[in-house]
Amino acid sequence: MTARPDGTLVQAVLAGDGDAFAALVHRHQVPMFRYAVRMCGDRDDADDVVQSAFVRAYRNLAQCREMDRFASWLRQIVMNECRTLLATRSRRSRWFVADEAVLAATPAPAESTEGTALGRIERALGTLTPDLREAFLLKHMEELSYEEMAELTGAGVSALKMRVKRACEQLRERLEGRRDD
Amino acid sequence: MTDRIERDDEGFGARLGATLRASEPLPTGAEARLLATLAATPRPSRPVPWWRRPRTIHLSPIGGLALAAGFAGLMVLGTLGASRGAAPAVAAAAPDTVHLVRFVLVNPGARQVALAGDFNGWQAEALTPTASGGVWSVALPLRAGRYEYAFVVDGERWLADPALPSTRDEFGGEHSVLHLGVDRVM
Repeated sequence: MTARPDGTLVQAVLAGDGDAFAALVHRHQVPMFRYAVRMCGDRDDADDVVQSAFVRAYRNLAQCREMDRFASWLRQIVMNECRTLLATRSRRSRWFVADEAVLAATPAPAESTEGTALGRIERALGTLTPDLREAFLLKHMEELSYEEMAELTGAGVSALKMRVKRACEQLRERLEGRRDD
Repeated sequence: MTDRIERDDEGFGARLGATLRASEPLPTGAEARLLATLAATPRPSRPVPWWRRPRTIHLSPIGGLALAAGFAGLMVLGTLGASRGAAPAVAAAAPDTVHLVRFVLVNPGARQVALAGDFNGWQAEALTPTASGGVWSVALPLRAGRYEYAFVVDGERWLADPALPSTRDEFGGEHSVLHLGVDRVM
């Protein structure tokens, strides 16, 4: 049986079929959670972010202008929730630190990835500023074009290219201990 | 040299991206918890525009005359607004007056144009083209207040009205902002 497209499911929800949203949750929760984990560096925070984003999406579904692009619209909400969480966290304490010595003493963000390649990359990602981390993840993990990134973030293409470049430089320095300049 | 560094960055980023795409299993019970929260959340629906909701209006004879006078006057202003181009015609009136606002978009290349805003629950309503083509318009009765809206061209391209200030909503969309009230004349 062919899966119903997102746009059809959104229309069904707005027409009163509440179960149709469950299909959207089932389809999109895992990729949104993965983005949130990489962005926030913490599974519990990522879970909160994704739960909150889906509830906001459900409440505001009538504002989803292009129903066929529900995934992109939802991603934007998840990104906003991540930014809000990181800003709040930044006010509370400096969770991600750029200082190498402090970084070395910082425990890995996810227990299951400690000591693995993924764990090392996650820790290095955690040293980037949120806007560099966001640009890097959208480009290289989500494999979006710069035009798609510009639409999602509201930033210009050249600014995004610069963020990705800086993110690569800093990650390379953290992971390989070398500079390109 | 710069090209080589960019290619290096591209390859380096792609390698990291491939590792980062490793599956990240949801916490136990996360989907069930979310569905339970959603079940307790009011269901979303297409909002019904205020002028389509059933309602009873009580007017004194003097109030009724004032409302009728305000409505007729603004219809004339709406016609004038259409000849000006893109801006909707709006005039000053008493706060409880119903304004007939004509929204106009000049776009000869469009196959269809619709209007969506907070006054109609963001459900696009089709605009009628003029006989000569290229000018699309619709007249809506609106009460005084602040409204956000955008034109939808060919069912997919959202355009803020170039004649008015615009704002971005929390989901990144650009809307025009229309102040319809007693102290603004456009």
